[in-house]
Amino acid sequence: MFNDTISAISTAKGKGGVAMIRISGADALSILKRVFLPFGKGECPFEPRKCYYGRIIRDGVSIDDVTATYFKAPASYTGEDVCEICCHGGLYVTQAVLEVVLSNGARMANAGEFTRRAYINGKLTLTRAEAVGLVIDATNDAQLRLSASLQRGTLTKKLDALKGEYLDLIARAYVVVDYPDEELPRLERDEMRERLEKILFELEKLKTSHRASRAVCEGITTAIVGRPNAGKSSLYNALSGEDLAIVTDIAGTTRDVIEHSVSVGDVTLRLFDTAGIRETLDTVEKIGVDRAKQKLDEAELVLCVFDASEAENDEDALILSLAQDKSAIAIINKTDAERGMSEAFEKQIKEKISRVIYMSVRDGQGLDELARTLAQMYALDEISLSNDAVILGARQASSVSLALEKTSEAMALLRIGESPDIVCFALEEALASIEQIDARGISEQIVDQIFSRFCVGK
Amino acid sequence: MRNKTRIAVVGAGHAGIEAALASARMGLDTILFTMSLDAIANLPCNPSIGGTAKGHLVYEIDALGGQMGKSADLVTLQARTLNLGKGAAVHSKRIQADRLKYRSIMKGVLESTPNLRIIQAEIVDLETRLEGDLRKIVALITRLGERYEVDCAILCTGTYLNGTVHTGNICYASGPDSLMSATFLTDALRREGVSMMRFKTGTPARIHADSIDYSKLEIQLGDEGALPFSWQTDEDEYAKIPQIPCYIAYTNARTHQIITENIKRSALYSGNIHGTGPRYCPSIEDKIVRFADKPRHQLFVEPMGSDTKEIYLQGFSTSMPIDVQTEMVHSLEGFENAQIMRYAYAIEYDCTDPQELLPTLEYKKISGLYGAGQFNGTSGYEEAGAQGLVAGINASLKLLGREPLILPRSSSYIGTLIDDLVTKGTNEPYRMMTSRSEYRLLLRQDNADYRLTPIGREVGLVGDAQWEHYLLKREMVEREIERTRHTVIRPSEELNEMLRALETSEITVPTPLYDLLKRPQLDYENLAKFDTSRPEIKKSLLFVAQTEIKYEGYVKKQMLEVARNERLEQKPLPQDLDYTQIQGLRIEAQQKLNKVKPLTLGQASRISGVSPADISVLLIYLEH
Repeated sequence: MFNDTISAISTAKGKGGVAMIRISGADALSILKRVFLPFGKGECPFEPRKCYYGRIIRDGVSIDDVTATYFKAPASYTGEDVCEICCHGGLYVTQAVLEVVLSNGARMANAGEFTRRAYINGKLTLTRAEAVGLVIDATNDAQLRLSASLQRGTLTKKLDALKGEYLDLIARAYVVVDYPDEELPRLERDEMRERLEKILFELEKLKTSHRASRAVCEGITTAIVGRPNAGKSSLYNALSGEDLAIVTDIAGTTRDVIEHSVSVGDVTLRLFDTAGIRETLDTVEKIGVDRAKQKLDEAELVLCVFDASEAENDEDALILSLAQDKSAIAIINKTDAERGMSEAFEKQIKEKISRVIYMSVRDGQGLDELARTLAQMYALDEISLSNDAVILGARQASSVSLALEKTSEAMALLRIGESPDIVCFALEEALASIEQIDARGISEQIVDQIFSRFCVGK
Repeated sequence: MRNKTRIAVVGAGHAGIEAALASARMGLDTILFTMSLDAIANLPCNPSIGGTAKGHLVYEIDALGGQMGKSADLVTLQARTLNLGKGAAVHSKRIQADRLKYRSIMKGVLESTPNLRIIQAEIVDLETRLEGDLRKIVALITRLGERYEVDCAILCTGTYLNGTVHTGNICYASGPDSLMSATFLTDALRREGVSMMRFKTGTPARIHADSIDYSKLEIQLGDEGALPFSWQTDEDEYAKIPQIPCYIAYTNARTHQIITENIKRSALYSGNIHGTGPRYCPSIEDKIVRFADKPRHQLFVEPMGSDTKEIYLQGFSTSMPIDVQTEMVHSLEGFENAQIMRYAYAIEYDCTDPQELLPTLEYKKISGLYGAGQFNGTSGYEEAGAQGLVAGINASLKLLGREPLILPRSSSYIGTLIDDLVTKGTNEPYRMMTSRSEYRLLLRQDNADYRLTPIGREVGLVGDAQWEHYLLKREMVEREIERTRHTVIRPSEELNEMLRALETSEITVPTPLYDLLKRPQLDYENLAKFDTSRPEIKKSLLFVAQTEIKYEGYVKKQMLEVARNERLEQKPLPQDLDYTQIQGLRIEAQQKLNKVKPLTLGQASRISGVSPADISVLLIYLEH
């Protein structure tokens, strides 16, 4: 059996009604149990080949309503334990589900890997048509990646530079190993540490760029909350006004997730139906705080609107307590009117929500600051979308994260004084994850690098 | 019938010796053909055995039941472990060998091996017969017209096949060390459909020791208490061998000027040589041309033996005419009056395209015919010995009707070497390097027997004595590791002072010896004073225990990687598959796959030009 559990989006890339994420490996079911919360009461039995309806949860927040099916080994496509999650087919939501699965212990599947496992486990019983379809899928994936990186020449260049840096470091370390008698400059620990720090910096930046590109392209799910008349509707209208145009209208949806996508500066916000939350809060005593919290928790970002002209009440306090552990911005509205809010409560707001903007929505004051704050939160001030290398896809983000992890590991090994053979092992893993190719290809590249760069041999 | 044998080995260099000994020791009637009985086990280039990754190969040969390590131990003039301080996985043993003594010891071993006949003869032709749809080797013909019927033949022709020696613009047919070249076999192989390639290598001048002014050179001494290659050598006795020093010399601006001015006169640059030379073993003129900004190059001054004054000048290989060579040598500090005894030369020779071989080293097209050593496009005594051993074992296993031995890459440098050769081919003489192995943390010198001795036992080459020695070693190492888990070192001012000095954290509570040994800064040596309950145990065993402790985590990680690839490695591909008939494979992949005919999907995935998508296509095709 293979030791690791893999996952990938198994349906065609792009918008579609429904998409399927497949997980295969010994941990498939335990990963599903971690990310999938079934509707309904009682323990979910996860009987094989039965379809369950529920939600995918990320950090306690529901991302999408999905169906999940468990196939017990060997009665599955790959012959291993397999779980299939069917979610809504949007690019964003599909990737979000995949990312949750990946962050819960699955590894991104390589092209053709499900099929490879199916074959090796003696399970490949596809019709010829299905088989041909899979081939097309595998080839398309590679072509997709290729065309994407062609379009984003900066990313390719950046990755090439990183690869070059890794190769150079490894080759420098190994040339003195393979040619110990030559008069070659030793790669000193300090130099290695310095260069690793630079690599780590670049990788961090790439990782950040993924966050930024997501904020720009896919949007941040955002809830605007506040008690009635605090200025939610005005803010909502101001955000979807002429200057900050409505990007899309998601029409005819029966689901109460997203109403509008709006651009605030470069950041796209996907605004929630705040009415639901208001109603919930209105009936807070009847329905309970938990339900209100859960509703709020579906948002990645919460804009809490407080009315500066009124004295604070219980509802404000509740909103503040709900928002305090979240990624949130406090908007203290109506700063043009006479002051009603106590200084003590204002202090509380600042303590619980680090980002506070004073605003007069009616006059349009403070909207620019909101745009700036958002840009800062989503690293847009660190990343230049036109000039910097930007990561769009989950696959690349996943390899960059892995490279980051392995490079940090190499750094830690270096720090505790480990020998170069061990430090380089971690670096080769980092290189392999950047390359997204088999580690075997790499040893050849190192050998070539050694010969092209160094004068060695008897 | 005397003109009949089960296995014939052609060539008694390092590949031929291991091949012949393996098959004879496995009980098969064997003949070893050599063109000169006086040149058995010749070291025509550097008088040293081992080196980076090569040392690993020698340990692996020994672990499988081969001969090279044992003989090398007996002729050690100087022993060093390279890469101390760079991690135990890349520690590499190298010895300076007494060349003549090595030859006579190897000859003696061969002569006293049962089932083995040694015959001085040049093999000029071979006969094959069609059996089914495959040709099969049936006989070898000698220059004197004798015909030997064989079941298997292993070609280990080294640099002798159509050898041409170049010195400046003078070139002539010759093997190394002025021995005869073999001029007929290439044509016979071509006639049988074998593709041949032409490679080049070279060797530096030999100097009379008394003509060198050693006072101007840096001395290089061997290691004290060096460990032997072979399990058969007593390590305490080995440590007592008196060692001879080597010396280091340098090229200078004058040397470089002589070379630059005369570059057109070098056989390499005049267009006389057509063979491909190795990147890792360039001639001095190559180094000067390619790395013009390097002000000097290091040269090693090495003894050729204890009874000779011949000195080898490592790093100074050239194909310049002799007047330029003399000037070059005299330009070196300490060599102003040097007397050259043998001039440097480049040698071109014929070899086979290893992609025509199976991982057993048998020809895909000719059943029973094997290739090993430089004939397969490699370089180096150790690489040759490793392949000879595997070819000898596989020819024997075939005749015994047993499963072949294919060592996975994760098992050994030998497995990596052969997989690289037959899967990727080579366009220059292939040298083993630690950077060629993706499993190098697993493949250490000190655990070569852990990895390979059980395999050697299974094959039948590892005798009872070696097996018992191995089992005992394992037991003692395990017992010692167990002891370190239970032995607690108490914090003391003396210990903490040392820990501080070594820049590792102090201990405040009693700590298991095991945990301390895991720290990169600590080892058995510097902990000796604090490890009072340590039993009497051999240095080599302590080293294994220590390395096992230090590498445990990394070994586990690499083993996971091995396990991940294992099923793919073991999925067989049919040998009669015509890849051009598989729809969906890209044309490049079809051609590469048809050439290599990989045995497994794992091997297929390593062919350059075969993508993961192609592997998926193969998977799907195989299902139907």
